[in-house]
Amino acid sequence: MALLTADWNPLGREAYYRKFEIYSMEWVDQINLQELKVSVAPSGGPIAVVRDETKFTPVQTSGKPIIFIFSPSGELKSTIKWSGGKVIGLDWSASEELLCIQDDGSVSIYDVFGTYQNSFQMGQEAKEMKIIDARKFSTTSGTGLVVLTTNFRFFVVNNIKDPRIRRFPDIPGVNIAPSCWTAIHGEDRQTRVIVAKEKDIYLLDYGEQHVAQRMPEISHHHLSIVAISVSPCNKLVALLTDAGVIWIGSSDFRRKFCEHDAQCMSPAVQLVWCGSGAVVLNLGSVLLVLSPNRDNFTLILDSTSHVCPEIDGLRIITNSSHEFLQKVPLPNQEIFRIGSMSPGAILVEASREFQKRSHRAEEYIRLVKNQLELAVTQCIQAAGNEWQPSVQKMLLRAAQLGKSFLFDKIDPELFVGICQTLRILNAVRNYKIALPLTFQQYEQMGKTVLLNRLILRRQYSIAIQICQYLQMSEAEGIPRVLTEWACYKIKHGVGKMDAEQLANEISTKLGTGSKVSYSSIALKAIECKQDKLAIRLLDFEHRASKQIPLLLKLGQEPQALTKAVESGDPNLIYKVLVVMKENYSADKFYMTIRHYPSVNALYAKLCRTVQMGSLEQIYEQEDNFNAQAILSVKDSYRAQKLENRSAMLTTAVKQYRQAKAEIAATLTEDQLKLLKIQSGYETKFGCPVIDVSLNDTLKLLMRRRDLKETEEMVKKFKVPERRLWWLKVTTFAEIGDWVELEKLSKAKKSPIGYEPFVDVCLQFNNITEAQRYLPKVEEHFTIKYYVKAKLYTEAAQIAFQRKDTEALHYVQSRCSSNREAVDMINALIAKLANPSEGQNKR
Amino acid sequence: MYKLSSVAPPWKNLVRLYLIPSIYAVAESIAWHLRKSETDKTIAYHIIVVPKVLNVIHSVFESLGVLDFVTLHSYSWDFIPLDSNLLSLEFPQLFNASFLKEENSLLTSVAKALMSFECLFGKFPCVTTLGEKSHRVHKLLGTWQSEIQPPFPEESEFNHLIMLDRNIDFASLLLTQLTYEGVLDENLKLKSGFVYLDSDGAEGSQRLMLNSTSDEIYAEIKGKHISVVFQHLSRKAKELQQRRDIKNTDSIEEMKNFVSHDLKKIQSQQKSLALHISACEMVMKRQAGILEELLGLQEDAMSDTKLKEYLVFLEDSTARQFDFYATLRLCCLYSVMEDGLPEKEYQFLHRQLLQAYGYRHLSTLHYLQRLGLFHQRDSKSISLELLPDRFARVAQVNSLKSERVPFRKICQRLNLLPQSTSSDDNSSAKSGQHPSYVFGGIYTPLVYQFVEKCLKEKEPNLGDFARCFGNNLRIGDCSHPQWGARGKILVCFIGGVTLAEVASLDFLSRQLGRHIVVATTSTISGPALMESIASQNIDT
Repeated sequence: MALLTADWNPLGREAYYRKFEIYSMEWVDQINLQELKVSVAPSGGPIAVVRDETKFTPVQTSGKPIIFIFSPSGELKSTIKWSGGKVIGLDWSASEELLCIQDDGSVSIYDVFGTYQNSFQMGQEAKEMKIIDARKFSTTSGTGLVVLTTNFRFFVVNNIKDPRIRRFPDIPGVNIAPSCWTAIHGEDRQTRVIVAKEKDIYLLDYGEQHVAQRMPEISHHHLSIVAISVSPCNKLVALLTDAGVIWIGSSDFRRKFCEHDAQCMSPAVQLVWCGSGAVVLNLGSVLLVLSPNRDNFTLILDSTSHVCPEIDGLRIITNSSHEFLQKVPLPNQEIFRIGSMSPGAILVEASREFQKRSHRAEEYIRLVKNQLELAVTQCIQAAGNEWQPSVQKMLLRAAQLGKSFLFDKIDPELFVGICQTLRILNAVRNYKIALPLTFQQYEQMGKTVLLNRLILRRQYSIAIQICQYLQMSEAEGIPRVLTEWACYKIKHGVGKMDAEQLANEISTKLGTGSKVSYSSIALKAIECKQDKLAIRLLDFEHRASKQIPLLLKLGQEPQALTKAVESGDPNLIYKVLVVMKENYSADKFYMTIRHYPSVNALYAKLCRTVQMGSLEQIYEQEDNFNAQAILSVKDSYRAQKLENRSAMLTTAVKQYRQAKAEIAATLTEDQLKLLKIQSGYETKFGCPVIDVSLNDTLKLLMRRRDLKETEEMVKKFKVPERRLWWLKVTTFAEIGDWVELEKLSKAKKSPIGYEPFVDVCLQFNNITEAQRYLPKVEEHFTIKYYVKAKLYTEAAQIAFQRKDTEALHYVQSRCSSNREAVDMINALIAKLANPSEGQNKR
Repeated sequence: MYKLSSVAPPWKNLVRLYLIPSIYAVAESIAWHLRKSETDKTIAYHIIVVPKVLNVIHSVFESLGVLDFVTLHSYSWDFIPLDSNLLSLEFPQLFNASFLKEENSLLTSVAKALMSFECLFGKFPCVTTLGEKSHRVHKLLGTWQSEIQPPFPEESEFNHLIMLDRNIDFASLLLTQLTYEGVLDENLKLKSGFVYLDSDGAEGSQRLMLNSTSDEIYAEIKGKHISVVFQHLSRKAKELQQRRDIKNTDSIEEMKNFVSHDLKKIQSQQKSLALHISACEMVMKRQAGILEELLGLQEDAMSDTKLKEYLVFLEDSTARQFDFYATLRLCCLYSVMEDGLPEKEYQFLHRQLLQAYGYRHLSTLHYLQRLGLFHQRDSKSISLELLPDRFARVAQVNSLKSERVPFRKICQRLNLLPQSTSSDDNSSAKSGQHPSYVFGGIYTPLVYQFVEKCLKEKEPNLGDFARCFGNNLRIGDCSHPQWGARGKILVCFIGGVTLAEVASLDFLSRQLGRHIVVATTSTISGPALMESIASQNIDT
């Protein structure tokens, strides 16, 4: 236990700071930080170094500088042979991209492996005036960049992914360079620049385009301020004067917390915050740690160092090791502080005794019985903050022991969560992977960002294991990692491997049916100009909506069309059709779509609705005269003028003939004929006739008593006799021309029988006329028709004559309201029944 | 809420919403509305397109310059329960689009709806499809599943999905339905579960909701043969009156109880009873005289007798200018049962129909021919030559490949035509002892036979069906452990279902004691089908 506090340094009464080694650097003996400019990516990121041109060093290579990128454990990851202009600054973005800022304001972005990604400019003025300094700052959405030009103007880009350049207001009295400056991005999402010019401090705010001057109250004599550092919480600020005095105050410079003479006359290397509780002045191999209460201590390192602030501490990189300085988290402090009697400490002691199988364990437990919950929580939290797995285990064991006395009173989530997180953290802290994250850093970045980091480092295997371990959802878990893997594979397999082989390799690894986005992999392949591979890969994509645009991009219209048809989505088919129509010749277009009935149908629809093309053209192409004819016929109905209509119908006739559809052709001819006649009638009669059916036309003629014309029409259109008779009968009755009706009945034996005659008479309630035809009605209908005419007596008489009892009953049932008739029928039935009875008796 | 018309409704709200089908012409008319009323930019227009915003619809708004102030939304609704065992997508346009024009985009929506159904009730362990469109829907269902991968419940409540194409069995459409609900649909036009008793569904007209869950009386009579419905209704009326009368004499306490409980129920029942009776009367009026004649003819057509008289009747009905749709239906029935008409008769009828009802029906007949509803009996090569266009030619070639079996053969093989038609059989038909009662005992709906065969045996014996439909029949994976379990069954019709078929499936459900739910793209009836085909004249 004493060991654990060995590296603790008290700062004031309450706080302790501890420094421990994360990795011993692999670069030992190869790197001398003294000669190098160093940039460390935050949150356990890699380290970039380049020769510091301001220092005299033995030059090993001539000419252009080389940028080396090391992992946090000092393993050389890559080198960039710099061939551009003068590098003003090297910095890392939040997503671990190296930003190389040149003096002409162009910023090139590289990944960890030294692969060039892209670049952007800081604007025309920056380019012309050249820049002399640059600072990055982190925002909620990424990383921003501020540059200072030689004419002492600041330009800012708030997000390097979307570089939009804004200019800060000028510093008053622009004649000398600022002695130091820094950029901050506050919670209000505003970027500000704090500039120190000699003794004065200016706050530049581009949002409001105003400059505020501040005069921090520094009692020690000084000429200028040489370093500014803002705490991670943005509330505190530390200044260093040229006289080696550190001033700590509020970030608005209105309050002063302390002033400390650090007595450092040498130019200070770095002034940074360690968390928000202390400022660290890096003097090379000595660190001065100073709290706002002016408590302080110094740390002596074994060589020149570079420090990198993190949200909860400070990474110290030296020639031989990578260390971490942090304020000892409260639970750990409670447990491990010498002589601590906190519940956690006692629980740990109990656990220790318990391991030894000593009865004193029980005594300890009894001691904290009332605060056991707190003790367990303390142990669990402390375990999360420890770096050494052995210590983590010890604390977790203690927590477990305590938990067993609490039964269900404590939420197991916390314990399980910490165990899970620690497993992941220990795994990624391994020097091979070298992602030295503290618990707090991990909590802040979240698992998705952690996965992103691993993917960036091409640690796919462990990323997948973490996904599995955390049972992450499909959207952000394994499929995403696999997709990234495949993209990497493609990018690096270009030229080395056959497309087919690569596609197979990818598909066997990724499988089908999973949520892997083959389309995004294919897109990558297209970017790498691997069209063949992309086409192969798209075969595996089952979301047509993603697949088709890419196929079109690749010029695979037929395949895209097939897939669109399979998907059944008309919008997709439409999309393909539009592209095909543009790129294909008309002939080729029709030849392609002819194989797809549903495409054809959709195209036909499009032709009709949005005039995408001409439908006639397809049908011509297909020699489909029948369809052409139908089209002509339909068009004819839409035509307003009679001449147009006739013309279209004539075309239709021709087309029907070509299609060998004789019936349709003759019928269309008939239609033409009828139209002509009707138009003649229209002028003659002065009433609308066109578009009326032939039957109605005939009726019209009969209604006008134009029998001669009727006969002519009948001949012209070969109206069959039966129909003519029907027409005549109904029409005569309609117009009440009973004489003509009678004439008709006598002219010839009716081919339709005489029942219709009766029917029409009855329809117009003309019983007398009906009676004229009743006797002519066919025998087996007679009774029914008499009943229909409500001539019950006659009906009954006929039935009686036929000796049909059933018919009599039928008649009776129909006239039940007519008392007389019923009685009469009863009598008849009796009459019919009696003789038969008599016969039976006999 | 306003019905869409050619002029913009007189609304004053700031947020205005259109709900339209994805039909170009409709979208265009709305775009014109907006263009004309394009005065105030503060008004928000939302347009919900069912089932999907097509690119062309987007482009029409764009081309008319109104895209800026409208928001387009897609809404593909799911099955709408019309009755306790009937779900419908209410896409009546699907039949014409899919079967007539081979325009299959609506099938996607069907697949999507089925997937939503699966999300609620679990995946179907077994799917049997009959017909090309059904098969396509099944494939699309698979595509949707793999694309969206929604969470499905572990347990499957429905263990069998049976899908059929409407064009597999046209006879059920062409024959007159004789169940109460079927009769109402044919005569009064069922619109999304409602029939309108006056004119054509104008605002405020009397309407009757056909839903057996909310209407006790309807539940009792909906599947009954029409001939017994009227008696049932009158008996019911008497019963209700009696219940009311008896109660009148009771004590005050009971009176109070009666008023608070029973009276309301009785009143609502009486109200619905009155509606049913007036519906019945309307139907009777419409069918007076002709129904018997029609039924006789249909029987002749089914039993292949007295065909000469049948043709004479058809000729007469054109002369007498019977209802066009009824006449067409009879023609189609004849053609379907006889596998086309002989050349002379075909030409003759063709001419008669056009002369009687107008030449503009040339395209109607053309479409009927394309659907295989009304065509000339030919040697196959000629029929190919004559077929309207390439799509149909392709379809014909396909069906030739699979050796299309004439419908009468199918009927015989599958035993769809009940054998004896003696008087006592007739009465059993009416009382509902045999599924063919829905068509007056002359035809058993194919779907009844199909579903029964699928369910009855442990291993479905669909050999007869396979022989009839060849490639169009795809039998699902029968090896599934849940096969044959007593789960529910979903029967899905692509292209519409007649209520008579629903009734026959209800009958089957009672017979087997298994729950059968019918899902469909819309309800359909013979007159409605004919009307939609005939109206193709206007909408190209």
